[in-house]
Amino acid sequence: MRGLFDDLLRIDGVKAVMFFTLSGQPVFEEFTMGRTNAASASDWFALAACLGKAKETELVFEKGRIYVRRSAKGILLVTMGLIAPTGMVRLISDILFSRLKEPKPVRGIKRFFKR
Amino acid sequence: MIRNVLIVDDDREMLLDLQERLCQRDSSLAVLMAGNGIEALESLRSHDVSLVVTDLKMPVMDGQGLLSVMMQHYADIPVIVMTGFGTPEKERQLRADGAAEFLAKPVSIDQLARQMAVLLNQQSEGGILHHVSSATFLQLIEMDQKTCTVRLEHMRSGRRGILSFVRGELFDARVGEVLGLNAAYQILGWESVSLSLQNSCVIRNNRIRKNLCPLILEAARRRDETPPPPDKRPPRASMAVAEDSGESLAQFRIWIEKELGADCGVEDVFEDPSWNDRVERLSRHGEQLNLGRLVLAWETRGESCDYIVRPGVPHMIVAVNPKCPREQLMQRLGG
Repeated sequence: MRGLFDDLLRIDGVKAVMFFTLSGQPVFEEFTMGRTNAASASDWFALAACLGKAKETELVFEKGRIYVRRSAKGILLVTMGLIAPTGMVRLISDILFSRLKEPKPVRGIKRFFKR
Repeated sequence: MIRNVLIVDDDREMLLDLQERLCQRDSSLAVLMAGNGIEALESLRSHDVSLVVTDLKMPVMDGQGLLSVMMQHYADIPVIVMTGFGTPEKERQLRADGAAEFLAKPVSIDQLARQMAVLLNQQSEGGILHHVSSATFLQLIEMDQKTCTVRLEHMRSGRRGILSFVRGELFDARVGEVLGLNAAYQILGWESVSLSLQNSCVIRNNRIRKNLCPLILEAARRRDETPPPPDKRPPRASMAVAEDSGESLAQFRIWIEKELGADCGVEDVFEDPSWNDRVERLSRHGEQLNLGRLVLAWETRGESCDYIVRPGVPHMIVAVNPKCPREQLMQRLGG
């Protein structure tokens, strides 16, 4: 799993990479410099949820940037410092999403079991 | 633009469930709730509502009573009636009384969302224009002898109004609770508006009975004689751009084109108070996450244009096409 997100985590200025299912379950989260606040994955997802169904959003705050990308495969959230190559983050996210597989619908009794 | 939908039902749990599910489906909707007809009328007085969905059987004032009052004072707002006790006869009667749609309970969320989308989309089926002079556009409607409903939003104050035209003649106007001539003078006095056009009009009663041209002149006279309200807008946050380029949108666009060249992909620059809620929520989350308040946002919705949002009072939106040099523009705007 981590290998998928390595390229994003290596970009200068990227502080954290998180990936959620559309319902808000965290699938992956890693902070490059450790957590700087007590925020949980659900706090970050709540911010992404404010964006509605926008496919891609770049948010610039007073003290940092966030890049959010949404598709049927899930929601990617990348936090960055104020100076970060967001063009590179977008490009690597393009590649990342093309590598991710669509979730397969589970049929029959299997759907009642957690995978 | 965020559109307010008012749902009226005495079943509180169902209201909360509908509110949550409808908002999840469509982020451009704000769902207001009322437990009976009287509460609904209070809500209509205090909000600009685009659509009402009401149950029939309720205490205090039922759906039939609400529909009847709405047809007198808010006839331009479509009403969907839901009931568990419907008959074809009842449906015919409700439609004759002014209901736009009739749904038999239990109503599936898909069915309701579909009907709501149809009615809301009708309100802008003829197109949406930003930054137009209301007087000029309305004179075109008169010349074309068009039957239509025009929904306008004053760019400066964010107030909304409705004008109803039948064969080019202004039949009625509404701003909040104000109807007829007084509402028409208010709306016609708005210089720069965003407007959407519906190619039909439910109003059949002419409350205005005056030609458009003298109305426009009188509205201009009233506007000129009224001292302008003090501009209470705070200075824009930490961005040199606004102070240097002036506050006007046209100047702002010229400034961008000067910075990045005329072919920089800017399609439109407009103010949109409907972003207030989302910007406030994002800023609140930003503060909780130790990032501070929102300064700038770029949104890609998969449409022909992307949108840049610059929070302020009001928020300024720049619509850009794919030619726009994204990094450069974000940098110039303070991002």
